[in-house]
Amino acid sequence: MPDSFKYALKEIKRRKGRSLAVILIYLLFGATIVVISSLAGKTRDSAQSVLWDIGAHMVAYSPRLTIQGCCIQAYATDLYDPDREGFVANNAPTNIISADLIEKIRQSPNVKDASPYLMFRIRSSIGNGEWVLGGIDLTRPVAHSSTVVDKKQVVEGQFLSPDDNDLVMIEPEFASVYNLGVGSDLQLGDKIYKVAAIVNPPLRPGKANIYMTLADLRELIATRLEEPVENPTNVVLVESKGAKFHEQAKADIARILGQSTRITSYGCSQPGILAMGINENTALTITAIVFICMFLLAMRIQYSSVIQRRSDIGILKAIGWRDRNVVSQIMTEAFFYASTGGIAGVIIAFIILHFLPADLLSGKDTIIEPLILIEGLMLPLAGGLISGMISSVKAVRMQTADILRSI
Amino acid sequence: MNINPVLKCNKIKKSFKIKGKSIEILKGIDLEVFPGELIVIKGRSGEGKTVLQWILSGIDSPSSGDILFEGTPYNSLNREELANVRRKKIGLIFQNFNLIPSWTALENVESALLNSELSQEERTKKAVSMLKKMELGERLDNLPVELSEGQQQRVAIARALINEPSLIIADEPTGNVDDETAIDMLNILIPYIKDNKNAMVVTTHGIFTGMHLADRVFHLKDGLLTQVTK
Repeated sequence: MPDSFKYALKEIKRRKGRSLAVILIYLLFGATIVVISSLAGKTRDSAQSVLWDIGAHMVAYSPRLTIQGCCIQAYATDLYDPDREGFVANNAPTNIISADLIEKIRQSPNVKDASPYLMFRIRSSIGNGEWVLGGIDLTRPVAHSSTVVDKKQVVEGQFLSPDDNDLVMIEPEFASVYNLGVGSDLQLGDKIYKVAAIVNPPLRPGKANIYMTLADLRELIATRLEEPVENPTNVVLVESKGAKFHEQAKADIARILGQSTRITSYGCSQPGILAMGINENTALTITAIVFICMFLLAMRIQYSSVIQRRSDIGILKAIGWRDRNVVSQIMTEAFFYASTGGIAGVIIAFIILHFLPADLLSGKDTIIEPLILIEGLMLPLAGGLISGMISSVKAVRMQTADILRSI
Repeated sequence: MNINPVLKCNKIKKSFKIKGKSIEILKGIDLEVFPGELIVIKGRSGEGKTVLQWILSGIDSPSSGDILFEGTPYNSLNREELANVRRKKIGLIFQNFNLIPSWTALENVESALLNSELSQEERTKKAVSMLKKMELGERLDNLPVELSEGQQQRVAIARALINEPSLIIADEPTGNVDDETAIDMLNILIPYIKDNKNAMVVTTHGIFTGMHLADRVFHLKDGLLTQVTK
């Protein structure tokens, strides 16, 4: 056994009460950090999950506008069909967006993914209504899952796959009004499509009556236009890199698509970011306060122990102990206290989290994340080693002669 | 035949600042200690015997003057090197023994062997052997508070001698023990220095039981050292 460890252990055993007190301080600190960080992390994950669904996604399109008189903007007449068939978004006629603009949006540092989306208003084949069709690029699920429709929203049937042809998905109200179900035939234009699924997405910016693959809708549109348009897209579905990047992503899109661009997203990203920030900052603040208190208390006890051992240190230095012998003993004691307390703290935290109500854990399991585990071990250790270093400096600075004079 | 001194002091002065005033305790000490010598330094309380002792052992540094230990000046050594000198070459015996109160007799003696090249087992063996020589073989695991003054003194001697130092510096070594114990102690120390050509410097304010064995006696008064006839 190394000498420093042997003498440190001797000192730890000699003052059992004090040793236990110091270990307890580190235990409390380690347990507090792990519990608070875990709770904050799980709250953040839940909030992030909600925000992921509604706060980090948007739909961008460019309405077709014209100037009436000197300066009044109004929607232009549908370019392709005066009877209201045409490219629309939010019930307004839109311009076509080229593929290279979508690619530019995708390359923005604030954007995670961007996907082309096609929305087209068509006269209904049943009655005298109008239907809005949504053509989805199913190879890019990240962008459409929270702006249009997602697999999780299938009520009946099978969600479309990228290779599907002549299949559609419809919403429950639509199915109910037109008495359709999975397997039903639906005529769109001159073609018959089969209903593959009934889907029930919540309110989404890219909501349509009927969903199909992008390729299928483009094929259908080609039969409706007098002048063909190659691979049309009139809407861009965008997912930003996170709620914190959302506003900048919107600015990037506006810059790329032009100032007349409309960007539709849920307005809760800002309060959501704020709430997340408050939770994270609260956890950080509590951790910092606990760290400072723990550090000051542990340091005081360790420092006091060096003062109490003043005469011992003086005698040992007089008979030939080097400064480094004294330092290594004190640092070994500090390391022992901090590591024992830290490990015990993590174990206690694990037990506490295990028995907490599921609500507090947002329904998640109680496994401690590796990073929080490391935090729970490293922070007490860091505090302990700093306390040890300060106490060691004190011990080294003690003049042997002064100590012996006072004995 | 020239014999080199174990310790040589030139014009050692030591001052202390007390309440802003500089007070000179040692005013120019010259001393040479040769191998095999027993030097006794007498002086009243407060004359600076302990200060001189600590300066001789390198625990404290003089305000001015040189000290050479086996030809090496103390002021050419850093703290670690000085500590090494004290550990390997100088055995200190304090007036109040200065044993670590929470360590056993064995642990107190072993502590002097820290930083030696010996393994832990060898250190323990050596310390046990030394304590047995001091007739403390049955008291290895006793704390100082469980030992008599004479026994504590012997533990202190064992700690001082375990590294086979070439110089022993003892402060009032017989002051706190009875005559019989004092004689026992001298019976250990005197043969040690005579047989091994080591040296010992004893400081005392009163009567030192081994005065008649001293090779030279000095009187420390008013900060100066004067040799006296025995």
